[in-house]
Amino acid sequence: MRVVVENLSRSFGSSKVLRDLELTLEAGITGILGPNGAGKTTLLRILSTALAPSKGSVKVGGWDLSTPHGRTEARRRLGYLPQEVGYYPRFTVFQLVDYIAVLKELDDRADRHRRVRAAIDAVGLSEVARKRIKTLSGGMRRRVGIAQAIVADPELLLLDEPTGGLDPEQRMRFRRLITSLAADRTVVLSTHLVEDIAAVCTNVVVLWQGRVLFQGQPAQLRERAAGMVWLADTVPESALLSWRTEEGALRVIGPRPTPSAVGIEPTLEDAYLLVTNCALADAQLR
Amino acid sequence: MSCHLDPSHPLASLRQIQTGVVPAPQVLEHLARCADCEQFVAQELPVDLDRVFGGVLAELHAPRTTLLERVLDRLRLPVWLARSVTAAPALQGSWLACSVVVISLAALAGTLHGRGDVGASVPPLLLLAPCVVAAAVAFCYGPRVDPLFELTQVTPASRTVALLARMGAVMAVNSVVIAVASGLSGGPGAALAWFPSMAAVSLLSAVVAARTRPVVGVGAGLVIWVSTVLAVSSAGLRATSALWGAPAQLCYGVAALGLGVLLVHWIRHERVFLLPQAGL
Repeated sequence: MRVVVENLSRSFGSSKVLRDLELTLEAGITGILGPNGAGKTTLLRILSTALAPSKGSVKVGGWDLSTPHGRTEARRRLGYLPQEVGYYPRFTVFQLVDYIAVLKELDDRADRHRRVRAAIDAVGLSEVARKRIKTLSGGMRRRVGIAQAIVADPELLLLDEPTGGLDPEQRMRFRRLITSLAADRTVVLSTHLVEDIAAVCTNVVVLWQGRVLFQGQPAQLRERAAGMVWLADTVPESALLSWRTEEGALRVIGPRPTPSAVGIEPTLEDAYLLVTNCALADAQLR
Repeated sequence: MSCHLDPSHPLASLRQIQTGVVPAPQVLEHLARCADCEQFVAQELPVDLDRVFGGVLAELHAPRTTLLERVLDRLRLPVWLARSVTAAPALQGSWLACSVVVISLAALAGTLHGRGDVGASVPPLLLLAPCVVAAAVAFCYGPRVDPLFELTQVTPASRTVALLARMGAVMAVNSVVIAVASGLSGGPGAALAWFPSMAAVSLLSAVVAARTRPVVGVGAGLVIWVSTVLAVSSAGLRATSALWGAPAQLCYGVAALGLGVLLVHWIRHERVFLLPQAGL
């Protein structure tokens, strides 16, 4: 399912959270990467129809979200994991997923219950399906949120910080699940964890202060940092960023710091830091 | 491993499956966990066991429906709407219990105090009823009230219908409580005189809550209603006729209708119940 965002802006009072965004998201997994406050959650809320844009247009699978009919049709086709999934204290895991399935127009009771069970199985919560959500850990609640997002087999899956609170084993399981789901649908996940993007995403969008700094494949983002990452002995003033690695070496991002510095292969994280710090430096200059 | 050979094992009940007796839930639970037994049964029974057991286990895990949900089901409400209504915070047991206590105390106070000229003073029940219902209506729908609000907003279920159904259910349940209290106290409220004022004040609260916050909505309803009552009292008018006479009832009705239309218009155009900025 294709998602086209044109000239999208969103303000809350005098605070501009998104500024003139232009994006096209295709089938596969797109990761939206950005620091806290970059506008990731607001963008996902707009794509999910939970929030209306202040300006611009969004089309989900050809449906224009500015019309009531378009929003309803898009809602039939999407699954959404918000940043924080609320719950009613009396609800069990099964009840919550079933409630969302009912609202997603899964009317046949037997079929719906089978799907609910399958979704709960997929996130590894079968053993606690009858437990109240309030008794579960934060990571388990996150998985309940993922289960409700996938229960209606959506064509567009929007996940806001899906791996927040998950332990490493569950994070791996989640990545496998998302990879298997993305075979025939569009998955958009927002995160500030570069390793999530590197592990599963076919496309990446870097968002910073409500603007798109980069859109493309992870390899293309890495290429941006080619010739800009070094191991050095000292940190020159020209370095955009530097830190000491576990091995004790000094990793520097920026122009060659010293003649003796050794150039190394950039990681996705290096590239992300380079792009966002360049934007920050530009903003400070202005 | 062949645990199904153990005669004390729950799967010994397999014979019941073959003879058509409904199998015990623990057998099905066991089959879901034990691949050996599941394979054994699959060989014995020519059915799609994954589907059958998946369905049965889903039924076992399915929650029991609440009394209110069963009532709404009898009224032929769609499942999604019945679920949405029963999930309303203002229809939960603790909230309803509080409403019953407040209304009962108001009715009791009216019974004890209102033996004299009831036309001159404001019966406590008539004064309080609109406030109690206004609070319940303001707290029945919205992002600051419903923990699942954001999730439910991205489903195709109609927001307008969900809001109206919740408000209707809240007002109906509270009306029953007030009617019973009025009837038992034998005061002037027994004749449903409180209903139009209750509807108007509740809808005012709902409209303000929809644009701002539930607490602000309740406050607005309360201030307007109490100000009206005080104004009538200070003007030296007979309270019951000035506040609940035919002209006043007509005004309440028109106000309620106007506010209801405004609320529906706003929600259809998604101008109310807006999510706050992320992270705030």
